[in-house]
Amino acid sequence: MLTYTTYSEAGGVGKTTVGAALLEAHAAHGLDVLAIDMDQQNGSLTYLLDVDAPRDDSQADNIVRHLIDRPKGSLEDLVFETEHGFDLLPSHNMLENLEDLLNRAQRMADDLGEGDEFDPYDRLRQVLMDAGIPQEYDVIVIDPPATAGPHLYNAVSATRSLVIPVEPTGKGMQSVIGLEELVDGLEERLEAEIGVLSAVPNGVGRTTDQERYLEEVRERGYPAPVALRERSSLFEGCWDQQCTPAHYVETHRSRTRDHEMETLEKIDQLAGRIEEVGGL
Amino acid sequence: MKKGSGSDPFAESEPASEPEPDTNENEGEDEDETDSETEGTHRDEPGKRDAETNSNARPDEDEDAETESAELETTFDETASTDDSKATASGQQSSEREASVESEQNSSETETGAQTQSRSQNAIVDEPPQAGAADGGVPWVYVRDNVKQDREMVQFYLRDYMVDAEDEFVDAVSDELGTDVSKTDVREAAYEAAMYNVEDVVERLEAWGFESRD
Ligand SMILES: Nc1ncnc2c1ncn2[C@@H]1O[C@H](COP(=O)(O)OP(=O)(O)O)[C@@H](O)[C@H]1O
Ligand SMILES: [Mg+2]
Repeated sequence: MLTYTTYSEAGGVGKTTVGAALLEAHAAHGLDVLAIDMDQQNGSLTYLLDVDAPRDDSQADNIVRHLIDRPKGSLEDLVFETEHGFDLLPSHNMLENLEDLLNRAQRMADDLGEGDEFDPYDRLRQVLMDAGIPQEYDVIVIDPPATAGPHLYNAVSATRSLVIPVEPTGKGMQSVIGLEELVDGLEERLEAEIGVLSAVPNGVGRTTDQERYLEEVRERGYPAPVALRERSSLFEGCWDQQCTPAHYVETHRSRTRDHEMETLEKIDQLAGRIEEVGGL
Repeated sequence: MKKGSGSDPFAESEPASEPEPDTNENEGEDEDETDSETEGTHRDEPGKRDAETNSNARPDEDEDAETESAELETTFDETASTDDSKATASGQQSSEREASVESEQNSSETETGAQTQSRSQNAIVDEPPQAGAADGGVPWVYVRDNVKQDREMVQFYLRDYMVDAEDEFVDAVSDELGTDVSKTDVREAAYEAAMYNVEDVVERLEAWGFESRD
């Protein structure tokens, strides 16, 4: 099975946008796909996919209740079907307090003498496994918030592979250089081997040379099949209409635009390549 | 760390045999019409497009431009005509009055410039200071670091119908150009284009109710 977290050190690089595009492409390849939104912020995958989950009702069952071992129902019942051919385990406002809640859960587990079995950074993987989720899907993609913390650690621990959108600027390239160290840090913390399925220079402008960025990333040994160009009209359209890019073009464009079709093809290619590297 | 996939997070949960997903047979492939669709909508050959953009043909004299930007024109025209009446009917604010005096002077001045139409002699605006795509030099968009470089910020006051049309305008331009272009670039280019089309500008001002003094 293929599991990955869309990851980048900085926010606004396109984790959620590229993630949604990839999810749609995996589903179009006939795979059973689950997205998990671990970002509590409003501009998250759950918003983009227009899934109307009760995110501010803390009485309702939600992913966090499962992570802290206080579920109100089965995890499967929390999974929504999106309009785009894949499923979503949506975000919830309780994610904002995840760190505190996990600490508290840890203490309670300690009191019960079960503290050793409770790993606050490995909860998501545990919960998914207990619910038999891995058996039901070919692909699981997790969208984390930009900040390091329990959301990210849980996401990475549950997927162990990363797809990394990279800002095609000097700063973005610096972050590629620092990537090795960063992933090593995650590996140590999570005690698991972590792989990079692909780096994706994203938002390459008309004025910048996408080949150069691809070369730079590849020189460092990361798979980087494509660079995605600056397509503000397409991607802002997705956020406006709350949908995935291929869906957007199909539903909200009166006619096809060559440069947008080219981007959709690249996304498709990237998804295919990730499936290959991930062993599907 | 590995360059490729990491360890299997669910290895323990799938001890012997993972149930083979039966959906794995590329069902999606026939849904993927992207290729054929792209080929269906051929754009004009580059040569022709160049000619269009270089000539100063007004949109309503240019059949191709009309079909290409039909969407834009309809929305734009509708709002324009409704807002015209509003603008002339409702009292204008004093700041707008000042502006109107100014533009009246300008328009009478520039009318003659537009009539001669020979832009080499009577061009209102100089050639851009940076090398263009046509020279041997590296075009400006390739050397600047960001869209604001070398640009001064000027305030523009626009009515809602114009603000509303801007995104669609930028889309239409990006589409014709074959690459996304920022609103900032489109605005400057549009303003420059207008400087070569004084008559067009005058027509609009007249429609808004400005009258010639004589
Ligand atoms: N290739 C691109 N071209 C233009 N805009 C993009 C591109 N990729 C992403 N964006 C825009 O960047 C913004 C931030 O993207 P988002 O996916 O929310 O980033 P993150 O999840 O990393 O914080 C969004 O408004 C999105 O539309
Ligand atoms: Mg995000």
